[in-house]
Amino acid sequence: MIVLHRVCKRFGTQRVLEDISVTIPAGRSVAVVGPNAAGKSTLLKCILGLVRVDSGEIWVGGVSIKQTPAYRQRMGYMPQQPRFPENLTAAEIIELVKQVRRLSGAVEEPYIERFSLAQELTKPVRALSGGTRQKLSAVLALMGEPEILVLDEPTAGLDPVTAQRFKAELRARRAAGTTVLLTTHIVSELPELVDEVLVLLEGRVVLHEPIAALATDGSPTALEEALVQRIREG
Amino acid sequence: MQAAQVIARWELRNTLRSRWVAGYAGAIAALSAGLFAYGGGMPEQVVVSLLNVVLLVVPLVSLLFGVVSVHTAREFLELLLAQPLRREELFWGFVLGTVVPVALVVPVGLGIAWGVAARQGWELYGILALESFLLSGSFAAFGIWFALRWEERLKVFGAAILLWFALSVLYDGVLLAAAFLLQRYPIERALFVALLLNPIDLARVAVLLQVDAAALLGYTGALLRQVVGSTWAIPLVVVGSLCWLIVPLWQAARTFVRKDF
Repeated sequence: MIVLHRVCKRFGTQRVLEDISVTIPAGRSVAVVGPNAAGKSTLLKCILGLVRVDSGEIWVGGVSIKQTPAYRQRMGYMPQQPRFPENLTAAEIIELVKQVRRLSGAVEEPYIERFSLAQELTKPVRALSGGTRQKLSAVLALMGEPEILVLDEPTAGLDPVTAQRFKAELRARRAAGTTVLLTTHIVSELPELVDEVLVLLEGRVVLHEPIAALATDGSPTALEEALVQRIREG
Repeated sequence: MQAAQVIARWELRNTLRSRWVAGYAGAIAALSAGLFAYGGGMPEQVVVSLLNVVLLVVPLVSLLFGVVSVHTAREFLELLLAQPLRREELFWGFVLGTVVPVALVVPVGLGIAWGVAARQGWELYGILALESFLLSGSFAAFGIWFALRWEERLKVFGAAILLWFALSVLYDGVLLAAAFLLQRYPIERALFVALLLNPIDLARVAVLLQVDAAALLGYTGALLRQVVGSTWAIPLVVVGSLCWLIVPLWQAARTFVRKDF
């Protein structure tokens, strides 16, 4: 379970997150949506400990994130813009992250196969396309089957086939009880990926509801209209 | 610190494969070999010639390397910070893997040329290698600190260039002018302190004390030898240079641990 209690964050004079209190039960999938600069990525980064909150508390699995970085052993993270050391190969990047996470065995193998990455493993990162780097990022997030996945616009930059495979993997993870927290601008993919939608507007939570309550007919169009209306209402 | 070792090892591999670092090392080795070939193979002459290049080029290259290494690694650092490790571990792993190989470029490049062409005067090589290592490490640490401290790249590069210009060009001029204008006053102690406040001057004085080139030592260097004696002058200068490595590294570590990524 992820719990945020009265979390506030400013960058200089700009308020990025304001009094955020949210509970994400274990095994739920939540999409954080909102316009650009609403604070979506900052919210994810606060949970990961990349951004320090000014006030408030965050607990992951009952442990305050201020206490120890060990809670991140249970989390897989896919950043918005994957960039890796240019002179290492994809295989070496995977090995590095495995060593840091103390993962043993061929935990990456199923995902390398799923995302057709085998041919690219021996190439240096500088020779990889943006889409391939995104696939590598997905492998790094998924390997070791973490209990919580934090994904910042995960399908942006993926080709349609890989995006489909990635979404199928996410559905399988949801079914297996993984907690998923993701940001996206693609509203149409929300019904198949998440249980709940959390709308951020200027750093405040303006909506946190099950997706079924927003689009009763389950159609992406109805969901998009409902979300836009809620965002306009503020 | 197991995670720091892992990161240092992989960062080191990444840095050593960099064409840029290879080119820099090759240029230093070629320059050293050229100076030995056309300088009659006399280590003292080669060192005095090479010293000017080291004092001017090494700080600038190291500063820019420090800045660029953080800018290019920023997103990867974010990814690593999302792993179960402490920020201190990540910082020291990153620094060891990036700063050390760059700081070793001159010692290794010069060492190869020295081993082939000179094969003597290893004490002199030792002090130049040590001082260039400390100088390069210090400026790379400043570059890393600046890149962590400010987000705007223009500001970071501006600060880096300004620091290099101030310490390598402006400082001696200001010092000379001050010494001239204040010649009626007892300013020896102030000048002695001024020497310790510039890592480039410290490196220059350390090497010239070893060469025993009194004419090139300058006022502060001569004063140093007069005050503490020849035996203790070099160790004192090396300790001063070491402080110039530790301070920016410590500042960079503090900034990294508190930074929002």
